[in-house]
Amino acid sequence: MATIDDRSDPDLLRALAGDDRSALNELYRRHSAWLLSRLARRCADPDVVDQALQDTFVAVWRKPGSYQGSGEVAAWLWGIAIRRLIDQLRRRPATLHRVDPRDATSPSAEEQVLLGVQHGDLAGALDRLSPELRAVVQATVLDGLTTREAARLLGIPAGTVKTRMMRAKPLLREGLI
Amino acid sequence: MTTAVSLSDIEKSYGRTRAVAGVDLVAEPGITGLLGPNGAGKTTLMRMLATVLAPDGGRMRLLGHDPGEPDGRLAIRRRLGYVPQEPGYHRNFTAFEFVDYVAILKEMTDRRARHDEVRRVLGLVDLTDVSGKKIKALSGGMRRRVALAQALLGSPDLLVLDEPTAGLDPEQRLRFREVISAVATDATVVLSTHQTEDVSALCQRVVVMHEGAVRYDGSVRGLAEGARGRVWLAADRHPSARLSWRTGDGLHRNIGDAPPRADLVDPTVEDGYLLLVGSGAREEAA
Amino acid sequence: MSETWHADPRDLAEYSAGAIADARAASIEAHLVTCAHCRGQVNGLVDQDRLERAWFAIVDTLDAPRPTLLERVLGRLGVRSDTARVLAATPSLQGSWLLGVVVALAFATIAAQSGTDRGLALFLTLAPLLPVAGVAAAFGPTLDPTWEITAAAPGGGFHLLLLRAASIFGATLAAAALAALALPGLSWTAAAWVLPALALTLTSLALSTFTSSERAAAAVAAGWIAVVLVSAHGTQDLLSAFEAGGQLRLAIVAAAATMLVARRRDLFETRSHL
Repeated sequence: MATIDDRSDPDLLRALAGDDRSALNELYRRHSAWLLSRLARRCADPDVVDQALQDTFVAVWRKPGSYQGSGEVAAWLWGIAIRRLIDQLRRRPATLHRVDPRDATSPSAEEQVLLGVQHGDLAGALDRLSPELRAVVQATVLDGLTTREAARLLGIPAGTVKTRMMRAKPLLREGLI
Repeated sequence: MTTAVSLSDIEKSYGRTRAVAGVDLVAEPGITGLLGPNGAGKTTLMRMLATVLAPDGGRMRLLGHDPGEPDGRLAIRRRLGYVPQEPGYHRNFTAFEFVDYVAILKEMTDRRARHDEVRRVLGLVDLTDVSGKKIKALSGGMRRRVALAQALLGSPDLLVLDEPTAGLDPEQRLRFREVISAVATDATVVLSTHQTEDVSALCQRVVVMHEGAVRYDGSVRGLAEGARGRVWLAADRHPSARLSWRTGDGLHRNIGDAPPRADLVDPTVEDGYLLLVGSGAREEAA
Repeated sequence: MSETWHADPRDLAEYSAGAIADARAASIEAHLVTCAHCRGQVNGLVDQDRLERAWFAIVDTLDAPRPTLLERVLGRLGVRSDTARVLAATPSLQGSWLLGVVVALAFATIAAQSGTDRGLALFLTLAPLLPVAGVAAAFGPTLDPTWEITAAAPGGGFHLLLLRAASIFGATLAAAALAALALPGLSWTAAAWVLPALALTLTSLALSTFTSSERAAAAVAAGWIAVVLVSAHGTQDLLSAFEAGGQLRLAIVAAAATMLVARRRDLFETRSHL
């Protein structure tokens, strides 16, 4: 593929309405890698992740018009992708990926400053939560899922999601002050 | 490699019209052009090459088989690709679905493999991006390419193309020729046309047909050479010219028995062709 | 909003390898949503083969031929998907054609409702002609746009013809049977059209090896109507063509036509005329 496609993401979505396969190809080229990485952090089963990724782009092809035109296309794509992942998990429960805190390198001072720039000190506050609480916060706050969707993603009852969120909120507030 | 096409004294009549009158034809691997005006019997001959029509008389051998024998015919069809003069499509098929349908007719029963093959041929004719579009939404040039794609399924050893570039603009014709050239390295291609350009650009050999009979069978160069000394420029149409027309720069190009001291020019393939088939073909070849 | 801050490539590498703490991952993820440059960086860090395989699976899903209603029904009946596809492409199994059949049958049934011999005779004469028309339209230049490509294909010969003819026959038979149930006075008359249907369809097929399928069908139709009328006139009984003697004659015709079709099957594989 020699020619560079420099259409903007919204332009590509518009082109999809005209059955333009090259537009989907370009969208895939730009977004499949990071979507795959992000999905893989939510689910350890690569087959499920692959399927969710495929379902995402098939869904994008079939309903490009559901993008409202505001906000990043990338964010809209993630919204579709995470929900496709949940659909897949509904059919076959898979193990959830957890980063073992002992494996993760602790951030350097410089990195901590950078992280602080991104999220206030939300990142630091997140770090101080237990893995279970952190997963719930990530799913509901960062991924924007509903309680039920988060429950499906994490493989826990919706009630548990709620109670964990209730425990996490004061801890986060504390951490952010 | 054995000769893919060998026709001997082939006859076909419709009522009292002798559409094909005692035609001999041999096509070697590579591209053979079948040149002739409408009504010359080209399409009838092409249909016989594609085993769609049976001749009334004569002997045919295609890909080493006799198409008159059921087993032979089946064997030929398994290695044959055909683009009819007027390919038709089912109304609501997408490009992919149509080629897939033909692939089923070509006995590709394994779904996965069949879909891969459909994608391959659509890629060869550069239609990957529109494979999901309905054929009725495609331009004429693209539809022609869909028709070519289905003929390329299964990498046939014999490709029979009946006026595949008709109705295409010059750029589309160029791309078409590129695809056909690429495919012809391994196969025998018989291509019928009334455009001498196609012949000059693509064919190693050319057969000229007129009124059901073969008027020339040989190299493309030879066809042009046949008009050497018979083509000249003059201010006007010359009385001894069989054919004459006004060219862009105001002079008349005359073909026929040249008078002495005529301003002779190098003959083109078109000149050679027109010399053989006369004025009726002039309008079509333009 | 231009993003001048970009993620550290090491961070991205760790992120896509899945070896990064959740908190920092969250930060990177939030950044990736807004930064095309860093998304591009991730492109180089993910298994390309995996992405390519996924792409082909996507394309396969998108391209996959959409089964028509008829194909889905046939699928439920256990018919293989490619056979179903080839059948569904038959012109006379398309919706518009079948609708025509239904309408014709409706008229005939209404005519027969009158309870008279004339009405019944009309139904019994018309019903057998429906599969004849259907089969004639199933192949050949007139109604099948892909006839020429089909004719040159290995799978497009006699076998396909038989498959299509059988399906059309079955479909019109079923429709006519349903219509016949609405005839007054359910008796032998309700089935008296079946054998004629078979005989006429086979005869039309046999004749199509001598001339075009349209002309064959027209000849058969004309001949059948003539037979019904002549027989009615001779015996002063409108239904005489359908009674025992007539059925027997039709059975013989059906047998003869079958033999002729079998003998001349090669002519369905390649035409001697168009």
